[in-house]
Parts: sequence; structure tokens; C-alpha cells
Amino acid sequence: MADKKYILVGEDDKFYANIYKIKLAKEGFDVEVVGDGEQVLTSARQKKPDLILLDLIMPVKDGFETLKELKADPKLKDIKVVVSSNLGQEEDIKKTVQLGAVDYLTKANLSIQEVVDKIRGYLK
Amino acid sequence: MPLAHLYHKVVKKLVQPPAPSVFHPLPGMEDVLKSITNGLLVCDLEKRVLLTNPALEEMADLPHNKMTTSGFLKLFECTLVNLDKRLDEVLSSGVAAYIEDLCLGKFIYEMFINPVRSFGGEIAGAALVLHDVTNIKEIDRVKTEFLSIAAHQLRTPLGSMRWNVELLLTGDIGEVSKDVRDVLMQVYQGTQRMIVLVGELLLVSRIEQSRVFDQPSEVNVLVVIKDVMKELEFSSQEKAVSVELKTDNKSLPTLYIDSQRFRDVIQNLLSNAVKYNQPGKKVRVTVRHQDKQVLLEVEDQGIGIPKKDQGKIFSKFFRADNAAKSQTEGNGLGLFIAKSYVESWGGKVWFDSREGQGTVFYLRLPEKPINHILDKNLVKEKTDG
Repeated sequence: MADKKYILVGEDDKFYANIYKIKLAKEGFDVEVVGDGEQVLTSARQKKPDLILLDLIMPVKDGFETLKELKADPKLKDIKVVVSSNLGQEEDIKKTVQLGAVDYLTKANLSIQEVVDKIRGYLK
Repeated sequence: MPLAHLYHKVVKKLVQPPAPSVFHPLPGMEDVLKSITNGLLVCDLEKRVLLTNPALEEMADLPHNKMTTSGFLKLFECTLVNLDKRLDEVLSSGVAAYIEDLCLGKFIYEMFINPVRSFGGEIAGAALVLHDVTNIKEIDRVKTEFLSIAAHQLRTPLGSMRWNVELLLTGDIGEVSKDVRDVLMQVYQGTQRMIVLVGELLLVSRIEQSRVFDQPSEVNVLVVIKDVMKELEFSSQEKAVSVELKTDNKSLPTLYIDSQRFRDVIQNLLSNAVKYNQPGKKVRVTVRHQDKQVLLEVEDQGIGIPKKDQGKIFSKFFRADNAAKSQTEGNGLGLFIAKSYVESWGGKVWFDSREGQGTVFYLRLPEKPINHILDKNLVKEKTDG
């Protein structure tokens, strides 16, 4: 199973964290969920993920800051980052896309299956 | 406007002072001016200060005898509006001006520059009125922030409820019996309705703040309509309503428009036509391209809109009585949102309706809709500020 894609998730809400773990594993991904932006950076440096799913409102280091640092790090900047948040204001979307996210998902507006399909699309 | 009337009287006497014998000052004029909390400065055509009130002197932190009109206007340095020039324009054209978001120290003001006319009607000067809007701006900012946070906080549990129910419904957790599934389906639908409502409330607040931005792309009108019709198949079959599409023009233009919002508008008009139709009746959709415009008609044979409600049908949260009776679902936001979108694109939406017989909704869009792009608006806000 060496070709399993590895997805790193930054998500502090434990309900969402749990759903990601169940669903992404079920869909055949390797998943790690961490609860803040600092851990996302640490984790990504230890084991390079194929894709990072990033929440915006998180403790310690929020998603905006984390995204900025990911994109500023030459070793991490090529990892695709999909922002998955409930903020959903147009300014927030624009900001994350400008910071280098490949997509912005408003969690409540999509089914979990749609999220998985989008992730799969970006891993092709 | 009584205040303007008062200034008029004051200035009339100042600009054309009649002989002292016929001059009858209004009783307590001084006190009236003192008591006005808005700042007031009246100047003549040469912009010489004729009058200031204590509120304005306090704002400027200058006594009346040290006040010059240009000097006063220069105090508002954080604005990019050339206030001196605006005053000149008022003095020459006689058309009042309004400037918002002026800051002075910690305070934010709006300024009205009103022309002051003499007896004969010619422009004799101008009255500058400053209104402190610091609190209003603060409330506005807090409201926006609150809505954004509230939407986030409401969506967070709603979203995880939605996904958890989806996990259960798709059997990702384990098999569920049909009875359990039916109950879960109701939880799912309730959650969905709440999510839509939160989204629409947020949208309405953004519309009211003119903070809706388009992400335009090439959109094929017919494809969108057919797509929406397909999506409505289930509910129209359930109601035994047939939806027919008629177009006399195969060469409908592709519109450069925000595809999601355009779809929302079509979806709103079509789903209303199905929802409020009589069972077994028809919905006729007609699209045409003429005079550089796209015209859409959605005709139903439904309950119609009562005459007394017709003026309010596009108001937010409004639902006609008969609509509320026939369909308990619906939040009264759909048409308000649709109309806001259509008008922002430079189009129009209107209707003809007879209660008990049916309604035709008309939508007219220019071939080249106006798009409001976020970047441009951000820049615009800065220069206007």
C-alpha cells in the first residue's frame, strides 16, 4: 500500500477531526489530523504530505498564518493546500487563494463526499 | 428640512443685512445655534466664514475668530476627497454635496455642503454641516463582525451534523435500517435548511452593505436552465407539474456572469413556479435574445400573488399570505436576493400576477452584465475613503 496518498489535516474541532479520520481512511487515504497551525508545519516537515486540508480558525497559529509559512518554506511550498473552513466570506476566500491555496471549501455548504471528490481531483 | 430652513434664515440676514430698523432677529437664535450638536459653518461666495457654532469650534479646536473655511477643511487630512474643490463646485453649481467617512481625531463625520441662496435666489454661500457618525460606524463594524462570527459559529456545528448524518446515511459507520434511515433523512433535511438559512442571512447582510462580488465566467444560459429543470424534476413530478422550455432562438449569447449566482436566480424563479403551482398544471419557461438583451419568462398557473402583497413581494423576509399557507417552508429571502443580483448586473426582474390564476416572472439581462469584482471594489473603497 505504498501508493496510498497521505493527507495532513489541520482541524481543531474534534467532531470534524473525527469525520475526516473516518471518511478519508475509508476512501483509501493515509490521514493525520492535528489541532493547530504550528502542528501542521511540524508535521509537514517530518513527513511531506501529498495534500494539506487546512482549517482557518485554529488556536496557536491560524490557517492564514500557517498557509503563509507553508508557502514561504522552499521545502513545503509545492504541497497543495486546500482550505476547508466555515468562514466563507468572499474576502477570506480571496485572501487564501492569494496566499496560494488551490481551493477554498466552505464545509457546511458541501457534502463530505464532495470534499473527498475535490481532494481526489487535486491529487491527480 | 427645518434645519436647512433655519440656516437659510440666518444666512439670508448675514449675507444681505437689511437696515437695522427692519431687522428682527429670531428669538433665541444664538441659543439655537449653541444647542445644535452638529457642527455648522456658513461661508460666503469668497469662502469667508460668516458663522460657526460652538459644536464646530469644538470639533476644530479653534475659536470663531481664528476660523477660515479652507483651514477648517484641511483638518480632514485622511480623506482623498478634495473638500475645497467640492465646496467650489457647490458654490458654482448650487447642487448640494455629501461626503462620508471624514475623520478628525478619533471621530468620523459625514459632511453636507448645502448651497445657501439669497432673497433673489442666487447662490450667496454655503452651509457646511458636520454630523458625528463615529458611533454608527462602530455599530456597523461590530454588526458586520458579529454576523461573520455568528455565521461561522452557527455553521460549524451545523456542518459537522451534516457530515455525521451523511456518514450514517451512506453506511460508512455501519448498516442502518430503513426506519432509522428515514429519521436520519429528516435530521439531514432540517440541517440543510438551517445551513441554507444561515448562508442566506449572511448574504442579505452583505447585500445591504454592498459587499457582494462576482466571479464571472462564460455561462451558457440554456445549459443552466436545463440543469436547473433537471434538478427540479423530483419536486415537479411529486407535484405533477410539468416544466416546458421554449426558445425561439438557438443562438442565445453566452453571458459573462457569476455562474453560481446566475444559477441561483434561475433556480429561485423556477422552483417558485413549481412550488406555488397548482397540481397537474404547467410551468412554461421562455428564453429569447433580442435587442442585446436576454429575456426570460417563467409562467405558472399557480396560486398567484394577491394584489395587496404585490408591492412587497421582493422585500426581504416577506411572504404572501397564500404562499405561507400553501408552503410552510420558505424564508422570504429568495426573491430579495435574486432581485439584488439581477439589478447589480444591470438587469431587471418583475412580474404579472393574478391571484388564483398564476404568475409570470420576467427577467431581463443585458448581453454584457455588469460585474463587481472584489479587487476593484477594494481599490475603490480606498480612493473613496
